[in-house]
Amino acid sequence: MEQDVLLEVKNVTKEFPGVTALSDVSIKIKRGEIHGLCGENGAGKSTLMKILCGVYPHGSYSGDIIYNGKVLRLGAGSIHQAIEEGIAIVYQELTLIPLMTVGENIFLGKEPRTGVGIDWNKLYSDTDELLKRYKLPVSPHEVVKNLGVGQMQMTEIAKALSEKADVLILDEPTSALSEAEVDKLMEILATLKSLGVTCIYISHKLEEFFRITDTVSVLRDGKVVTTLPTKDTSLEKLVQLMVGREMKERFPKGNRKPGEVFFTVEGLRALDPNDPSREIVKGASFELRKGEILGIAGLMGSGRTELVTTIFGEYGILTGGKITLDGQEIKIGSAREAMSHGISLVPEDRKRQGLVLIQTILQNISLPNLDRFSGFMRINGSAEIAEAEKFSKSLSIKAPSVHVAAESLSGGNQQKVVISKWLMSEPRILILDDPTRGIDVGAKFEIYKLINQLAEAGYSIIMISSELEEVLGMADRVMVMWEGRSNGTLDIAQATQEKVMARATGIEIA
Amino acid sequence: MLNQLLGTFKKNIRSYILIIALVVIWMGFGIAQPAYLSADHIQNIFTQMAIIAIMACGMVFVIVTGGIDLSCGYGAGFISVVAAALLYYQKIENPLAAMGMSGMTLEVVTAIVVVIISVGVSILIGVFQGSVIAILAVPPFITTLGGMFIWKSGVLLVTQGKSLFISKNDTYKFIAQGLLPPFVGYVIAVIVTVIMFLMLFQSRARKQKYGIQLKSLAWEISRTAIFAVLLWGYVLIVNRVFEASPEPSVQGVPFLVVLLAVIALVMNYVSTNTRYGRYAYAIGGNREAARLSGINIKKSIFSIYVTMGALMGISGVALAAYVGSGTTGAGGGYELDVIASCILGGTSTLGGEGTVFGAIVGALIMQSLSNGLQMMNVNSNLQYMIKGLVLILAVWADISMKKKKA
Repeated sequence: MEQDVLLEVKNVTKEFPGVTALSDVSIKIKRGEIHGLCGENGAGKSTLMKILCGVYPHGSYSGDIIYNGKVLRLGAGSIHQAIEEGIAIVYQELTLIPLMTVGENIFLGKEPRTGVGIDWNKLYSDTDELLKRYKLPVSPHEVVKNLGVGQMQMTEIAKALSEKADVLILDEPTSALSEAEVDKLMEILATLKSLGVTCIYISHKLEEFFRITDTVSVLRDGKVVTTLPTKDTSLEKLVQLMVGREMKERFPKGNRKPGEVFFTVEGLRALDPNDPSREIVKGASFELRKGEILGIAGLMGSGRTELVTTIFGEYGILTGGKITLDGQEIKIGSAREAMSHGISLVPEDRKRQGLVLIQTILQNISLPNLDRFSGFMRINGSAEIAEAEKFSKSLSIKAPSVHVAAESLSGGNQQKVVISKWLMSEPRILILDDPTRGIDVGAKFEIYKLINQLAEAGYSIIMISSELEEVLGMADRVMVMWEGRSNGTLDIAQATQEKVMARATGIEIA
Repeated sequence: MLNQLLGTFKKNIRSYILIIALVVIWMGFGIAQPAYLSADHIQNIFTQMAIIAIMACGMVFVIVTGGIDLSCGYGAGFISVVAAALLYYQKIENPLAAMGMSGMTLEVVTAIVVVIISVGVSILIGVFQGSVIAILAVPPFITTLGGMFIWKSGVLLVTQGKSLFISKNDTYKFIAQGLLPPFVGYVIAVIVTVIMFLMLFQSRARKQKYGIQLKSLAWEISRTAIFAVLLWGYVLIVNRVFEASPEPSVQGVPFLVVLLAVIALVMNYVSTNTRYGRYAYAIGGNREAARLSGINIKKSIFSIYVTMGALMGISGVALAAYVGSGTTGAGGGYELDVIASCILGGTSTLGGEGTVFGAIVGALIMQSLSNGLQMMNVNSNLQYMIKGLVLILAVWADISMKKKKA
């Protein structure tokens, strides 16, 4: 029997300056089903969800969203409007206020009132009823910070459902959950389904689709590859659909001859500094040769960034494993020590971690390198300017001068400033954490060329990327991370997207 | 060439707007009350602002790193009563006299020892507060709020409720009350002028060596020349050259003003030309980026509060010398004037932005308003209200100017 369609995405195209995030996407979501949405990082899943819940308002994209038979027109800044229409989203990052109770969080901004005051009795009895109806095992009076991640998630779901949601969007709900918590979530989703709630389920963990979804849509490069009933597909098929695209000449080919292994990481283990009960790196090993590009692939949350920032001495609490440089074991306890060993890190988030945005290009580039311009006290300002200008020129940073603020530059040029800053420190190993994130296509190519040049010049590069294609296009070897551990290193000759994806999702274990 | 000058001026409009405001305030009060522009008043106003301005030189760095120091008022007060107590109870003088010193030597050595001990104590205060903030990670607001209560108690404990008069040591009082002989003023002015121009040409030569594009020579010379003219104008006025028969006792540059100038120049230099200063701005601008750039944040923050302590000590020493005694209310509320001076001078409370020069001008504006209102016989109870409104207005103007630019 043909179920009726509750929500239809019809020929939606969404463009950002320089990038087409979604191109002619059409998906039909049937009433009462759980519809899975999968795709690589950057395939356009988040953009689509942001359109559905009004972050990108009607008119900022072409095509239509048809909801309950009518075209959905959400105004700008109208996340609330989407909720009123019955579309609710549970975000990847939890958005609860830690010091408030479950009830207070659920009714935040829509507290029942008695005149001017809040009707606490009604608030808590409503919360209780809501939690019972959806069989969510959370106490209304519990303070959120005392909850486990799974229970927080349930609170988020209850909050989303508190306004008669017809469609519930779950954006990677299991990325921070334990096995048991995932099982619990699956039960809850089944309950919701039996109560007639339609769900859109986004996840990187493909096996979950087979546990819970009725239909799966695969997105790739902003396009819908296919939509098919989950029972008609398999894990291997999904992986293939996610990555299966021809390689275009998007990556400049370098001409380099990697040398000897001089840097190794063996069985590194580390704890989360903010929550030492959680292990974030659970055994990572790799070797690095002179003048090579080592790619690190892995899905979001696989511990890639945690691994490299720990190596750089600025994140995890080391509990095991060893790092050797030139055959000697080294200990790195801070960025400064890493620098003294010739290790530099271009961090993941250039605005938050890489740059002091209000300062000039000059000040940013020289920040880690002021020692080399300083005598006992004085900084040789002229030498500093001359050196910064040299880098600005050789990396062709587009700016009127080195005296303009970093915040005025485009993403690609900002990234070049961060790279300059670390090149000036004359590293042997340059770690690039997702260096092309949020950079448009043209600028990406320039960054790729630069990375190749650096490797040819003898720098050893460790490059993390969220885009599989980018890792395969650039690296000599690919180390794959899965759930905090290294799941083998593949030579580029034998690394295919399917193989890497199989390692990254733990289907294949080294 | 004039166009070029105007162009450069427009680019730096934000740094000059304060000076323009200052000139407007002086002209306004000057027209309403000619005594405002008298040599007497010009000599006084810089002395009066010095105690606040010296601390503002340190506070700029504190605020730039995203911190605050609420304790500096009572801290300076505490140091002032410590110095006064040492002199009042002859704690230094007596042992020195026992060692056989007498007369002028005794007085001078006593003063020097008192200054060293006082500033030493204030550095310890800085070390204490700096450690709590940098190592124990207690927020600066809380730490220095606590400090404020602690040093207030310190003032009361040392004074025991009475004023401790510094009656016997004029050398000590010279720090805040003394005037340098006119010829010393001229010598300083000559030296500073020569150094300013030498530095200008040396810096251009160095830039040329590194192939850096130079700013217009005319602009740089005229800028330096303007400073030189202001400097000479001040020295000539306070040396009473323009008066028919000046009284010798009022001629000369106040010692305290020279002290302030030296501190301001050093701190200004430190802010842009040393790692200490550059790290402070980077930490305030983006702490995370600074950390990942290998900056030892704890060390930086610690040393900034120690410096703040030292400057607070110098202010405290000057305060005792200025009042001529250690009083029970010493330093109370000064912290607010210091913070206001920095903010008026363009220091951002969000951190990462601010200049020493701006803070000095800010302090001068606050003092100019106070004095002007006083001379116009405005009800003194109204003065704080007017200063408060000016502060809010200035920051609002700055914010809206920035918005327009963006």
